[in-house]
Amino acid sequence: MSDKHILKGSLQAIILQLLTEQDRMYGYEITQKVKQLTANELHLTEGALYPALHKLESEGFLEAEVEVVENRVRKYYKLTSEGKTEAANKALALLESFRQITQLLQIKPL
Amino acid sequence: MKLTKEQIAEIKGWISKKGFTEIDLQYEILDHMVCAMEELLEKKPSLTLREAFDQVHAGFGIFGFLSVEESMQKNLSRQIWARFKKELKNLFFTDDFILVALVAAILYFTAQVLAQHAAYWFIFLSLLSFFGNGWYLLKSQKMTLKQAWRYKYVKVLNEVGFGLYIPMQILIQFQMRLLALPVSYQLGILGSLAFVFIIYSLACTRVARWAFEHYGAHYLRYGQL
Repeated sequence: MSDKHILKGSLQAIILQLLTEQDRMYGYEITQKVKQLTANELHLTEGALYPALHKLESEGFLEAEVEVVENRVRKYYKLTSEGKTEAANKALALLESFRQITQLLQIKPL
Repeated sequence: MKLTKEQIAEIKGWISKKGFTEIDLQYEILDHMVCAMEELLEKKPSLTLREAFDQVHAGFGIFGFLSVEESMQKNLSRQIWARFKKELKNLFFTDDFILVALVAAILYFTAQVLAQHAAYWFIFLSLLSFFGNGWYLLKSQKMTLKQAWRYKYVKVLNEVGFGLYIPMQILIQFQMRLLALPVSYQLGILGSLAFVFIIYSLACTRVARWAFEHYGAHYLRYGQL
């Protein structure tokens, strides 16, 4: 499994977590924030980010608002009340998975 | 480097040529492209606008914007189906279901009479048409609670009429075969088919109403900007 696959599986949790820290964000801002927080290690591709955002929106975890910024329309995403609960659940589930994987990887051969 | 209104309009044209149909996706992608291109042109000022566009577009992968649009369409159909299932489920737990059952029972007994006297179908269909027209008249007016209930009753009756139409057509198509069956069997087949179509038609109407309101509000917000 490549780093890309691990990231794809965690993408929704990452988006929800970023939105708990910041009230609202737009797509490009999310990609930049991930780059910044991981010191340019992780790159979210647009082809993965937007489908994930739209899926979270269709599931009712995110709501969108639009406004005009610098001669263009910008779509901001923010967490709904269900999204806040989902963010906490997803973060916990992801941390638990990482804890289990870490434990598994630390097994020393006999 | 900030892009001008004219440059943004040019980029919008290039994005439109890629065949986008969803307005909100067009705007979202445009904003993303402009942000990324502004950053790229800041780092490499020698690039032309088109070169910057092509470089940022390449970041979307080999399928370009297509994968994003496909996912958006998948989400839309997922939303519609989820709503349809929800409405179907709700129908069994609301007063609409009782109303449908009541109307279906009345129709069942009416059908028993009609089965014996074919000429009464004319009166029956005329009444259905009358209620159907009444529904359109009531729809265009503001209603009191009593009127609203009547509207609901007429609406359900109209949908029941629509639900009966298709089974009736099936019945006519297979008339020869069905006529060999006892009347109670024929009514049973008609009743079962009608029930399925009534529930289906009620769920479809509700989903359509929800979709018009939901997506109407969704897209209208762009018109206000």
